[in-house]
Amino acid sequence: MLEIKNLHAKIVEENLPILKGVNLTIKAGETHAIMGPNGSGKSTLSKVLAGDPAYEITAGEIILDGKPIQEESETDRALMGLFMAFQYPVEVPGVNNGSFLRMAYNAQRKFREEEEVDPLEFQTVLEKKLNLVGMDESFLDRDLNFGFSGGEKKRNEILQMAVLDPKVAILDETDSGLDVDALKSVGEVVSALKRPDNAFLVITHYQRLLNYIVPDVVHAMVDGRIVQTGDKSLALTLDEHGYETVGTAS
Amino acid sequence: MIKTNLSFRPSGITETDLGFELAPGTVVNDPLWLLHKLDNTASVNSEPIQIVIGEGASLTMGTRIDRTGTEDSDISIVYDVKLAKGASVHWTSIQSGSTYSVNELITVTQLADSRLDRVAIVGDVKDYQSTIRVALDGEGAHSNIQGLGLLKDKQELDLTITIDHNVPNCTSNQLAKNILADCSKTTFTGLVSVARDAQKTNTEQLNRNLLLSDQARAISQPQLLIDADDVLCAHGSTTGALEESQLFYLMSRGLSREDATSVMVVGFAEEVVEGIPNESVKAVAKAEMTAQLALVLEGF
Repeated sequence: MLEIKNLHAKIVEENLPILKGVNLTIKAGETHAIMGPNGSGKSTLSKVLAGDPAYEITAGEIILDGKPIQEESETDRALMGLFMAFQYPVEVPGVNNGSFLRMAYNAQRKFREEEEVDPLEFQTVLEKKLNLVGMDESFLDRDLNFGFSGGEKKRNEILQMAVLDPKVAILDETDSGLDVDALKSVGEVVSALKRPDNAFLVITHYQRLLNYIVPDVVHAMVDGRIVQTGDKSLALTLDEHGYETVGTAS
Repeated sequence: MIKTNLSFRPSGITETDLGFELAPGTVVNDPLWLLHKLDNTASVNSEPIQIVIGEGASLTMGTRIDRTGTEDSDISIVYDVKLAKGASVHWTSIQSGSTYSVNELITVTQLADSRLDRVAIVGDVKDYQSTIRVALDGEGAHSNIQGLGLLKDKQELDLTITIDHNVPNCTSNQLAKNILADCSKTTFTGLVSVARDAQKTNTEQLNRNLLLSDQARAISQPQLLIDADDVLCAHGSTTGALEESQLFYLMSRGLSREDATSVMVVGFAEEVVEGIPNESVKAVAKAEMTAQLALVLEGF
Protein backbone atom coordinates (compact mmCIF):
# COMPACT_ATOMS: atom_id res chain seq x y z
CA MET A 1 0.00 0.00 0.00
CA LEU A 2 2.90 2.36 0.81
CA GLU A 3 6.43 1.71 -0.29
CA ILE A 4 9.31 4.01 0.55
CA LYS A 5 12.58 3.30 -1.26
CA ASN A 6 15.90 4.82 -0.28
CA LEU A 7 14.26 8.15 0.54
CA HIS A 8 16.57 11.10 1.04
CA ALA A 9 15.24 14.56 1.87
CA LYS A 10 16.51 17.89 3.13
CA ILE A 11 15.13 21.08 4.62
CA VAL A 12 15.09 23.46 1.67
CA GLU A 13 15.90 26.65 3.54
CA GLU A 14 18.85 25.31 5.48
CA ASN A 15 20.02 22.83 2.83
CA LEU A 16 20.15 20.33 5.67
CA PRO A 17 19.78 16.61 4.93
CA ILE A 18 17.39 14.92 7.37
CA LEU A 19 16.29 11.69 5.72
CA LYS A 20 19.27 9.62 4.69
CA GLY A 21 17.87 6.57 2.96
CA VAL A 22 14.57 5.45 4.46
CA ASN A 23 13.21 2.10 3.32
CA LEU A 24 9.78 0.98 4.42
CA THR A 25 7.02 -1.21 3.03
CA ILE A 26 3.53 -1.17 4.51
CA LYS A 27 1.12 -3.72 3.10
CA ALA A 28 -2.62 -3.22 2.91
CA GLY A 29 -4.31 -4.03 6.20
CA GLU A 30 -1.18 -3.36 8.25
CA THR A 31 -0.42 -0.86 10.97
CA HIS A 32 3.19 0.21 11.38
CA ALA A 33 4.78 2.35 14.03
CA ILE A 34 7.95 4.38 13.79
CA MET A 35 9.65 5.30 17.04
CA GLY A 36 12.73 7.38 17.43
CA PRO A 37 14.45 9.98 19.55
CA ASN A 38 14.13 13.73 19.00
CA GLY A 39 15.74 14.79 15.75
CA SER A 40 15.75 11.30 14.27
CA GLY A 41 13.70 12.47 11.28
CA LYS A 42 10.45 10.68 12.02
CA SER A 43 8.27 13.79 11.81
CA THR A 44 10.21 14.95 8.76
CA LEU A 45 9.36 11.64 7.14
CA SER A 46 5.65 12.24 7.65
CA LYS A 47 5.88 15.77 6.24
CA VAL A 48 7.93 14.63 3.26
CA LEU A 49 5.38 11.91 2.55
CA ALA A 50 2.56 14.49 2.69
CA GLY A 51 4.48 16.82 0.33
CA ASP A 52 5.44 19.69 2.64
CA PRO A 53 7.18 22.24 0.37
CA ALA A 54 9.61 23.10 3.18
CA TYR A 55 11.36 19.81 2.34
CA GLU A 56 12.92 18.58 -0.87
CA ILE A 57 13.31 14.96 -1.85
CA THR A 58 16.87 14.53 -3.11
CA ALA A 59 16.69 10.81 -3.90
CA GLY A 60 14.40 7.82 -3.64
CA GLU A 61 10.82 6.91 -4.32
CA ILE A 62 7.45 6.97 -2.56
CA ILE A 63 4.90 4.57 -4.00
CA LEU A 64 1.27 4.79 -2.89
CA ASP A 65 -1.00 1.97 -3.97
CA GLY A 66 1.33 1.15 -6.88
CA LYS A 67 1.82 4.73 -8.09
CA PRO A 68 4.92 6.86 -7.53
CA ILE A 69 3.88 10.08 -5.79
CA GLN A 70 7.14 11.88 -5.00
CA GLU A 71 6.62 14.22 -7.96
CA GLU A 72 2.97 14.87 -7.10
CA SER A 73 1.74 18.01 -5.33
CA GLU A 74 0.52 17.88 -1.74
CA THR A 75 -3.02 18.24 -3.11
CA ASP A 76 -2.71 15.28 -5.45
CA ARG A 77 -1.13 13.09 -2.80
CA ALA A 78 -4.13 13.76 -0.58
CA LEU A 79 -6.53 13.07 -3.43
CA MET A 80 -4.72 9.83 -4.19
CA GLY A 81 -5.45 8.67 -0.66
CA LEU A 82 -2.64 9.85 1.62
CA PHE A 83 -3.52 11.58 4.87
CA MET A 84 -1.27 13.00 7.56
CA ALA A 85 -2.63 13.90 10.99
CA PHE A 86 -0.40 16.85 11.91
CA GLN A 87 1.72 16.89 15.03
CA TYR A 88 0.86 20.57 15.31
CA PRO A 89 -2.43 21.15 13.48
CA VAL A 90 -2.41 24.59 11.91
CA GLU A 91 -4.89 27.24 13.02
CA VAL A 92 -6.70 28.86 10.10
CA PRO A 93 -8.82 31.74 11.42
CA GLY A 94 -11.68 32.79 9.20
CA VAL A 95 -12.15 29.33 7.68
CA ASN A 96 -15.14 27.46 9.03
CA ASN A 97 -14.30 23.98 10.27
CA GLY A 98 -17.43 22.29 8.93
CA SER A 99 -17.34 24.01 5.53
CA PHE A 100 -13.69 23.14 5.11
CA LEU A 101 -14.38 19.52 5.91
CA ARG A 102 -17.08 19.40 3.25
CA MET A 103 -14.81 21.08 0.72
CA ALA A 104 -12.11 18.49 1.37
CA TYR A 105 -14.65 15.65 1.22
CA ASN A 106 -16.04 16.97 -2.06
CA ALA A 107 -12.57 17.47 -3.52
CA GLN A 108 -11.95 13.76 -2.93
CA ARG A 109 -15.30 12.81 -4.47
CA LYS A 110 -14.66 14.98 -7.49
CA PHE A 111 -11.25 13.35 -7.94
CA ARG A 112 -12.93 9.94 -7.91
CA GLU A 113 -15.49 11.29 -10.42
CA GLU A 114 -18.29 10.96 -7.89
CA GLU A 115 -20.99 13.55 -7.44
CA GLU A 116 -20.29 16.22 -4.82
CA VAL A 117 -22.57 16.29 -1.79
CA ASP A 118 -24.62 19.25 -0.59
CA PRO A 119 -24.50 20.45 3.03
CA LEU A 120 -27.53 18.36 3.96
CA GLU A 121 -26.14 15.12 2.56
CA PHE A 122 -22.81 15.87 4.14
CA GLN A 123 -24.50 16.27 7.48
CA THR A 124 -25.55 12.61 7.33
CA VAL A 125 -21.99 11.54 6.55
CA LEU A 126 -20.65 13.74 9.29
CA GLU A 127 -22.98 12.66 12.06
CA LYS A 128 -21.65 9.12 12.03
CA LYS A 129 -18.06 10.30 12.04
CA LEU A 130 -18.69 12.79 14.85
CA ASN A 131 -20.15 9.96 16.91
CA LEU A 132 -17.21 7.74 16.10
CA VAL A 133 -14.69 10.37 17.15
CA GLY A 134 -16.82 11.52 20.08
CA MET A 135 -16.87 15.15 19.02
CA ASP A 136 -19.62 17.64 19.55
CA GLU A 137 -21.32 19.19 16.52
CA SER A 138 -20.48 22.65 17.85
CA PHE A 139 -16.86 22.12 16.75
CA LEU A 140 -18.01 22.46 13.16
CA ASP A 141 -19.20 26.02 13.69
CA ARG A 142 -15.82 27.18 14.88
CA ASP A 143 -12.93 28.39 12.76
CA LEU A 144 -10.56 25.65 11.69
CA ASN A 145 -8.45 24.72 14.75
CA PHE A 146 -8.58 28.37 15.81
CA GLY A 147 -8.59 28.66 19.58
CA PHE A 148 -8.86 24.87 19.94
CA SER A 149 -7.08 23.29 22.88
CA GLY A 150 -4.23 20.90 22.06
CA GLY A 151 -6.52 17.92 22.59
CA GLU A 152 -9.32 19.42 20.48
CA LYS A 153 -6.92 19.99 17.61
CA LYS A 154 -5.79 16.37 17.69
CA ARG A 155 -9.39 15.16 17.78
CA ASN A 156 -10.17 17.38 14.81
CA GLU A 157 -7.35 15.71 12.89
CA ILE A 158 -8.85 12.33 13.71
CA LEU A 159 -12.28 13.56 12.59
CA GLN A 160 -10.79 14.68 9.27
CA MET A 161 -9.15 11.28 8.91
CA ALA A 162 -12.44 9.53 9.62
CA VAL A 163 -14.32 11.68 7.10
CA LEU A 164 -11.72 11.50 4.31
CA ASP A 165 -11.18 7.75 4.81
CA PRO A 166 -7.67 7.61 3.29
CA LYS A 167 -5.84 4.60 1.90
CA VAL A 168 -2.83 5.40 4.06
CA ALA A 169 -3.09 7.49 7.22
CA ILE A 170 0.00 8.81 8.94
CA LEU A 171 -0.45 9.84 12.56
CA ASP A 172 2.41 12.15 13.44
CA GLU A 173 2.81 12.16 17.21
CA THR A 174 -0.94 12.22 17.68
CA ASP A 175 -0.38 11.15 21.28
CA SER A 176 1.42 14.33 22.31
CA GLY A 177 -0.89 16.47 24.38
CA LEU A 178 -3.56 13.78 24.74
CA ASP A 179 -4.70 12.29 28.02
CA VAL A 180 -5.31 8.57 28.45
CA ASP A 181 -9.03 8.78 27.67
CA ALA A 182 -8.37 10.66 24.46
CA LEU A 183 -5.65 8.18 23.49
CA LYS A 184 -8.10 5.35 24.03
CA SER A 185 -10.64 7.11 21.85
CA VAL A 186 -8.08 7.61 19.05
CA GLY A 187 -7.29 3.90 19.28
CA GLU A 188 -10.97 3.05 18.94
CA VAL A 189 -11.35 5.25 15.86
CA VAL A 190 -8.33 3.66 14.20
CA SER A 191 -9.70 0.17 14.99
CA ALA A 192 -13.06 1.16 13.50
CA LEU A 193 -11.46 2.54 10.34
CA LYS A 194 -9.03 -0.32 9.86
CA ARG A 195 -9.80 -2.46 6.83
CA PRO A 196 -7.94 -4.96 4.65
CA ASP A 197 -7.58 -2.28 1.97
CA ASN A 198 -6.06 0.54 4.01
CA ALA A 199 -3.02 1.06 6.21
CA PHE A 200 -1.81 3.17 9.13
CA LEU A 201 1.59 4.57 10.00
CA VAL A 202 1.88 5.77 13.56
CA ILE A 203 4.80 8.01 14.50
CA THR A 204 5.47 8.36 18.19
CA HIS A 205 8.03 8.95 20.90
CA TYR A 206 6.39 6.67 23.38
CA GLN A 207 5.07 3.19 23.57
CA ARG A 208 1.88 4.20 25.38
CA LEU A 209 -0.07 5.09 22.19
CA LEU A 210 0.71 1.60 20.93
CA ASN A 211 -1.32 0.16 23.80
CA TYR A 212 -4.34 1.57 21.99
CA ILE A 213 -3.23 1.27 18.36
CA VAL A 214 -1.54 -2.09 18.26
CA PRO A 215 1.02 -2.16 15.45
CA ASP A 216 1.85 -5.16 13.30
CA VAL A 217 5.37 -3.86 12.74
CA VAL A 218 7.54 -1.45 14.73
CA HIS A 219 10.52 0.43 13.30
CA ALA A 220 13.23 2.31 15.14
CA MET A 221 14.48 5.41 13.39
CA VAL A 222 17.81 7.03 14.21
CA ASP A 223 19.62 9.76 12.28
CA GLY A 224 17.37 9.71 9.22
CA ARG A 225 17.29 5.95 8.71
CA ILE A 226 15.29 3.00 9.93
CA VAL A 227 17.83 1.03 11.88
CA GLN A 228 15.75 -1.77 13.35
CA THR A 229 12.43 -3.41 12.59
CA GLY A 230 10.52 -5.84 14.73
CA ASP A 231 7.14 -6.75 16.11
CA LYS A 232 5.31 -4.79 18.83
CA SER A 233 7.71 -6.02 21.49
CA LEU A 234 10.36 -3.74 19.96
CA ALA A 235 8.30 -0.76 21.13
CA LEU A 236 8.50 -1.97 24.70
CA THR A 237 12.24 -2.53 24.41
CA LEU A 238 12.77 0.96 22.98
CA ASP A 239 10.60 2.52 25.65
CA GLU A 240 12.49 0.73 28.38
CA HIS A 241 16.06 0.90 27.13
CA GLY A 242 16.08 3.89 24.80
CA TYR A 243 17.70 3.99 21.39
CA GLU A 244 21.31 3.36 22.27
CA THR A 245 20.76 -0.37 22.18
CA VAL A 246 19.33 -0.45 18.66
CA GLY A 247 21.49 -1.05 15.59
CA THR A 248 23.35 2.01 14.40
CA ALA A 249 22.99 3.25 10.88
CA SER A 250 25.63 1.96 8.53
CA MET B 1 -24.53 66.90 -10.13
CA ILE B 2 -25.11 64.05 -7.75
CA LYS B 3 -28.72 63.07 -7.39
CA THR B 4 -29.44 61.06 -4.29
CA ASN B 5 -32.40 58.73 -4.49
CA LEU B 6 -33.92 57.01 -1.51
CA SER B 7 -34.98 53.42 -2.20
CA PHE B 8 -38.25 54.06 -0.36
CA ARG B 9 -39.79 56.61 1.99
CA PRO B 10 -40.35 55.16 5.40
CA SER B 11 -42.88 56.84 7.65
CA GLY B 12 -41.20 59.24 10.03
CA ILE B 13 -38.73 60.46 7.44
CA THR B 14 -38.66 64.06 6.27
CA GLU B 15 -36.61 64.95 3.24
CA THR B 16 -34.79 68.25 3.58
CA ASP B 17 -32.93 70.37 1.07
CA LEU B 18 -29.70 68.65 1.89
CA GLY B 19 -30.74 65.22 3.11
CA PHE B 20 -33.29 63.83 5.50
CA GLU B 21 -34.36 63.65 9.11
CA LEU B 22 -35.75 60.69 10.93
CA ALA B 23 -38.33 61.59 13.59
CA PRO B 24 -37.65 60.65 17.21
CA GLY B 25 -38.61 57.10 18.08
CA THR B 26 -38.88 55.95 14.45
CA VAL B 27 -37.50 52.51 13.73
CA VAL B 28 -36.56 51.67 10.13
CA ASN B 29 -35.41 48.07 9.93
CA ASP B 30 -35.95 47.56 6.21
CA PRO B 31 -32.77 48.90 4.71
CA LEU B 32 -33.04 52.37 3.25
CA TRP B 33 -30.66 52.64 0.30
CA LEU B 34 -29.26 56.00 -0.71
CA LEU B 35 -28.22 55.71 -4.33
CA HIS B 36 -26.05 58.53 -5.60
CA LYS B 37 -26.90 58.70 -9.27
CA LEU B 38 -24.24 60.18 -11.49
CA ASP B 39 -24.10 60.93 -15.16
CA ASN B 40 -20.97 60.87 -17.20
CA THR B 41 -19.54 64.24 -16.17
CA ALA B 42 -15.85 64.56 -15.52
CA SER B 43 -15.92 65.91 -11.99
CA VAL B 44 -18.65 66.03 -9.36
CA ASN B 45 -18.83 67.68 -5.98
CA SER B 46 -21.77 66.91 -3.74
CA GLU B 47 -23.38 69.33 -1.34
CA PRO B 48 -23.06 67.89 2.16
CA ILE B 49 -25.71 65.23 2.59
CA GLN B 50 -27.19 65.88 6.01
CA ILE B 51 -28.67 62.99 7.92
CA VAL B 52 -30.30 63.65 11.25
CA ILE B 53 -31.51 60.74 13.36
CA GLY B 54 -33.91 61.83 16.08
CA GLU B 55 -33.89 60.77 19.70
CA GLY B 56 -34.33 57.03 20.11
CA ALA B 57 -34.75 56.53 16.37
CA SER B 58 -33.06 53.70 14.56
CA LEU B 59 -32.10 53.36 10.89
CA THR B 60 -30.63 50.62 8.73
CA MET B 61 -29.06 52.34 5.76
CA GLY B 62 -26.99 51.49 2.72
CA THR B 63 -25.18 53.86 0.40
CA ARG B 64 -23.58 53.41 -2.98
CA ILE B 65 -22.59 55.46 -5.98
CA ASP B 66 -24.46 54.43 -9.07
CA ARG B 67 -22.59 55.68 -12.09
CA THR B 68 -23.37 54.61 -15.61
CA GLY B 69 -20.62 56.47 -17.42
CA THR B 70 -17.31 55.04 -18.50
CA GLU B 71 -15.16 58.17 -18.67
CA ASP B 72 -12.63 58.86 -15.95
CA SER B 73 -13.89 61.29 -13.34
CA ASP B 74 -13.38 62.61 -9.84
CA ILE B 75 -16.22 62.45 -7.37
CA SER B 76 -16.36 64.25 -4.08
CA ILE B 77 -19.06 63.27 -1.64
CA VAL B 78 -19.73 64.67 1.82
CA TYR B 79 -21.93 63.30 4.60
CA ASP B 80 -22.84 65.11 7.77
CA VAL B 81 -24.55 62.76 10.23
CA LYS B 82 -26.07 63.70 13.58
CA LEU B 83 -27.26 61.10 16.04
CA ALA B 84 -29.48 62.37 18.84
CA LYS B 85 -29.69 60.77 22.25
CA GLY B 86 -30.28 57.01 22.01
CA ALA B 87 -30.35 57.07 18.19
CA SER B 88 -28.70 54.35 16.16
CA VAL B 89 -27.60 53.81 12.57
CA HIS B 90 -26.40 50.67 10.86
CA TRP B 91 -24.73 52.03 7.77
CA THR B 92 -23.31 49.85 5.03
CA SER B 93 -21.42 51.53 2.23
CA ILE B 94 -20.63 49.59 -0.91
CA GLN B 95 -18.36 51.10 -3.47
CA SER B 96 -16.91 49.82 -6.70
CA GLY B 97 -16.23 51.31 -10.08
CA SER B 98 -12.80 51.35 -11.62
CA THR B 99 -13.23 54.44 -13.76
CA TYR B 100 -13.50 57.13 -11.14
CA SER B 101 -11.73 58.53 -8.11
CA VAL B 102 -13.72 59.17 -4.96
CA ASN B 103 -13.02 61.59 -2.19
CA GLU B 104 -15.42 60.96 0.66
CA LEU B 105 -15.71 63.04 3.81
CA ILE B 106 -17.91 61.87 6.64
CA THR B 107 -18.47 63.74 9.87
CA VAL B 108 -20.56 62.17 12.60
CA THR B 109 -21.71 63.73 15.84
CA GLN B 110 -23.07 61.37 18.48
CA LEU B 111 -25.01 62.29 21.58
CA ALA B 112 -25.56 60.15 24.69
CA ASP B 113 -26.25 56.44 24.24
CA SER B 114 -26.25 56.70 20.47
CA ARG B 115 -24.72 54.03 18.30
CA LEU B 116 -23.05 54.11 14.90
CA ASP B 117 -22.17 50.87 13.12
CA ARG B 118 -20.59 51.48 9.77
CA VAL B 119 -19.26 48.84 7.39
CA ALA B 120 -17.65 49.97 4.13
CA ILE B 121 -16.70 47.66 1.32
CA VAL B 122 -14.50 49.23 -1.28
CA GLY B 123 -13.37 47.26 -4.29
CA ASP B 124 -12.19 47.81 -7.82
CA VAL B 125 -11.84 51.57 -7.43
CA LYS B 126 -9.32 53.71 -9.18
CA ASP B 127 -8.46 55.85 -6.21
CA TYR B 128 -10.56 56.10 -3.07
CA GLN B 129 -9.97 58.52 -0.24
CA SER B 130 -12.21 58.26 2.75
CA THR B 131 -11.99 60.53 5.75
CA ILE B 132 -14.23 59.81 8.69
CA ARG B 133 -14.40 61.99 11.76
CA VAL B 134 -16.56 60.98 14.68
CA ALA B 135 -17.23 63.12 17.74
CA LEU B 136 -18.53 61.21 20.73
CA ASP B 137 -20.19 64.05 22.59
CA GLY B 138 -22.62 62.22 24.88
CA GLU B 139 -21.89 59.58 27.51
CA GLY B 140 -22.62 55.98 26.58
CA ALA B 141 -22.16 56.60 22.86
CA HIS B 142 -20.65 53.80 20.80
CA SER B 143 -19.01 53.99 17.40
CA ASN B 144 -18.01 50.95 15.39
CA ILE B 145 -16.32 51.60 12.05
CA GLN B 146 -15.22 48.72 9.87
CA GLY B 147 -13.84 48.70 6.37
CA LEU B 148 -12.81 46.14 3.80
CA GLY B 149 -10.64 47.16 0.85
CA LEU B 150 -10.23 44.77 -2.08
CA LEU B 151 -7.69 46.18 -4.49
CA LYS B 152 -5.75 45.23 -7.59
CA ASP B 153 -3.76 46.80 -10.44
CA LYS B 154 -2.62 50.25 -9.34
CA GLN B 155 -5.70 51.00 -7.26
CA GLU B 156 -5.27 53.05 -4.11
CA LEU B 157 -7.31 53.31 -0.95
CA ASP B 158 -6.63 55.90 1.67
CA LEU B 159 -8.66 55.61 4.84
CA THR B 160 -8.40 58.12 7.66
CA ILE B 161 -10.54 57.62 10.75
CA THR B 162 -10.52 59.98 13.68
CA ILE B 163 -12.64 59.27 16.72
CA ASP B 164 -12.78 61.97 19.35
CA HIS B 165 -13.79 60.70 22.76
CA ASN B 166 -14.90 64.01 24.23
CA VAL B 167 -16.86 62.74 27.24
CA PRO B 168 -16.58 59.79 29.69
CA ASN B 169 -17.94 56.26 29.24
CA CYS B 170 -17.93 56.00 25.47
CA THR B 171 -16.72 53.05 23.44
CA SER B 172 -15.35 52.81 19.93
CA ASN B 173 -13.99 50.22 17.59
CA GLN B 174 -12.10 50.52 14.33
CA LEU B 175 -11.32 47.56 12.08
CA ALA B 176 -9.76 48.15 8.67
CA LYS B 177 -8.92 45.09 6.59
CA ASN B 178 -7.40 45.21 3.15
CA ILE B 179 -6.53 42.62 0.54
CA LEU B 180 -4.03 43.90 -1.98
CA ALA B 181 -3.04 42.32 -5.28
CA ASP B 182 -0.69 43.53 -8.05
CA CYS B 183 0.70 47.03 -7.41
CA SER B 184 -2.17 48.31 -5.29
CA LYS B 185 -1.65 50.45 -2.23
CA THR B 186 -3.53 51.28 0.95
CA THR B 187 -2.92 53.82 3.64
CA PHE B 188 -4.67 53.53 6.97
CA THR B 189 -4.47 56.38 9.41
CA GLY B 190 -6.53 55.76 12.50
CA LEU B 191 -6.54 58.21 15.35
CA VAL B 192 -8.33 57.85 18.64
CA SER B 193 -8.22 60.96 20.70
CA VAL B 194 -9.32 60.81 24.34
CA ALA B 195 -10.00 64.11 26.09
CA ARG B 196 -8.86 64.75 29.66
CA ASP B 197 -12.35 64.25 31.06
CA ALA B 198 -13.21 61.23 28.95
CA GLN B 199 -12.53 58.65 31.67
CA LYS B 200 -13.65 55.02 31.26
CA THR B 201 -13.18 55.25 27.53
CA ASN B 202 -12.89 51.82 25.94
CA THR B 203 -11.53 51.73 22.43
CA GLU B 204 -9.99 49.28 19.99
CA GLN B 205 -8.27 49.95 16.72
CA LEU B 206 -6.95 47.30 14.33
CA ASN B 207 -5.60 47.41 10.80
CA ARG B 208 -4.88 44.14 8.99
CA ASN B 209 -3.47 43.92 5.50
CA LEU B 210 -3.12 40.81 3.38
CA LEU B 211 -0.62 41.21 0.57
CA LEU B 212 -1.09 38.96 -2.44
CA SER B 213 1.82 40.45 -4.35
CA ASP B 214 5.37 41.57 -3.65
CA GLN B 215 4.60 44.88 -5.30
CA ALA B 216 1.55 45.71 -3.18
CA ARG B 217 2.06 48.22 -0.38
CA ALA B 218 0.20 48.84 2.84
CA ILE B 219 0.99 51.81 5.01
CA SER B 220 -0.48 51.60 8.48
CA GLN B 221 -0.57 54.35 11.08
CA PRO B 222 -2.71 53.47 14.08
CA GLN B 223 -2.45 56.28 16.60
CA LEU B 224 -3.68 57.04 20.10
CA LEU B 225 -3.75 60.44 21.72
CA ILE B 226 -4.78 60.00 25.34
CA ASP B 227 -5.19 62.73 27.93
CA ALA B 228 -7.27 60.74 30.43
CA ASP B 229 -5.78 58.22 32.85
CA ASP B 230 -8.52 55.64 33.38
CA VAL B 231 -9.09 54.24 29.90
CA LEU B 232 -8.75 51.00 27.94
CA CYS B 233 -7.19 51.67 24.56
CA ALA B 234 -5.91 48.87 22.32
CA HIS B 235 -4.43 49.24 18.89
CA GLY B 236 -2.61 47.04 16.46
CA SER B 237 -1.57 46.47 12.91
CA THR B 238 -0.54 43.41 10.91
CA THR B 239 0.64 43.20 7.32
CA GLY B 240 1.72 40.02 5.59
CA ALA B 241 1.27 37.46 2.86
CA LEU B 242 -0.76 34.26 3.09
CA GLU B 243 0.82 31.83 5.53
CA GLU B 244 2.46 28.96 3.64
CA SER B 245 1.88 26.64 6.61
CA GLN B 246 -1.87 27.32 6.41
CA LEU B 247 -1.91 26.77 2.65
CA PHE B 248 -0.04 23.49 3.06
CA TYR B 249 -2.48 22.37 5.74
CA LEU B 250 -5.51 23.00 3.51
CA MET B 251 -3.84 21.45 0.47
CA SER B 252 -2.83 18.38 2.45
CA ARG B 253 -6.55 17.65 2.73
CA GLY B 254 -7.01 17.71 -1.03
CA LEU B 255 -7.81 21.35 -1.79
CA SER B 256 -6.07 22.81 -4.84
CA ARG B 257 -3.74 25.74 -4.27
CA GLU B 258 -6.33 28.01 -5.89
CA ASP B 259 -9.13 26.75 -3.66
CA ALA B 260 -6.97 26.92 -0.54
CA THR B 261 -5.98 30.50 -1.38
CA SER B 262 -9.55 31.47 -2.09
CA VAL B 263 -10.83 29.93 1.16
CA MET B 264 -8.21 31.79 3.18
CA VAL B 265 -8.76 35.11 1.44
CA VAL B 266 -12.53 34.86 1.81
CA GLY B 267 -12.03 33.93 5.45
CA PHE B 268 -9.90 37.03 5.95
CA ALA B 269 -12.49 39.27 4.31
CA GLU B 270 -15.65 37.75 5.71
CA GLU B 271 -15.13 38.98 9.25
CA VAL B 272 -16.06 42.48 8.18
CA VAL B 273 -19.16 41.49 6.22
CA GLU B 274 -20.36 39.09 8.90
CA GLY B 275 -20.69 42.07 11.23
CA ILE B 276 -23.63 43.45 9.25
CA PRO B 277 -26.75 42.64 11.29
CA ASN B 278 -29.40 43.10 8.58
CA GLU B 279 -29.64 39.92 6.50
CA SER B 280 -30.65 41.55 3.21
CA VAL B 281 -27.88 44.15 3.47
CA LYS B 282 -25.45 41.42 4.41
CA ALA B 283 -26.48 39.44 1.31
CA VAL B 284 -25.82 42.46 -0.93
CA ALA B 285 -22.48 43.09 0.78
CA LYS B 286 -21.48 39.44 0.48
CA ALA B 287 -22.34 39.34 -3.20
CA GLU B 288 -20.25 42.47 -3.73
CA MET B 289 -17.39 41.03 -1.71
CA THR B 290 -17.47 37.77 -3.69
CA ALA B 291 -17.50 39.62 -7.02
CA GLN B 292 -14.65 41.92 -5.99
CA LEU B 293 -12.61 39.07 -4.54
CA ALA B 294 -12.94 37.17 -7.80
CA LEU B 295 -11.39 40.19 -9.55
CA VAL B 296 -8.62 40.48 -6.97
CA LEU B 297 -7.80 36.77 -7.20
CA GLU B 298 -7.82 36.76 -10.99
CA GLY B 299 -4.47 35.46 -12.13
CA PHE B 300 -3.17 35.01 -8.60
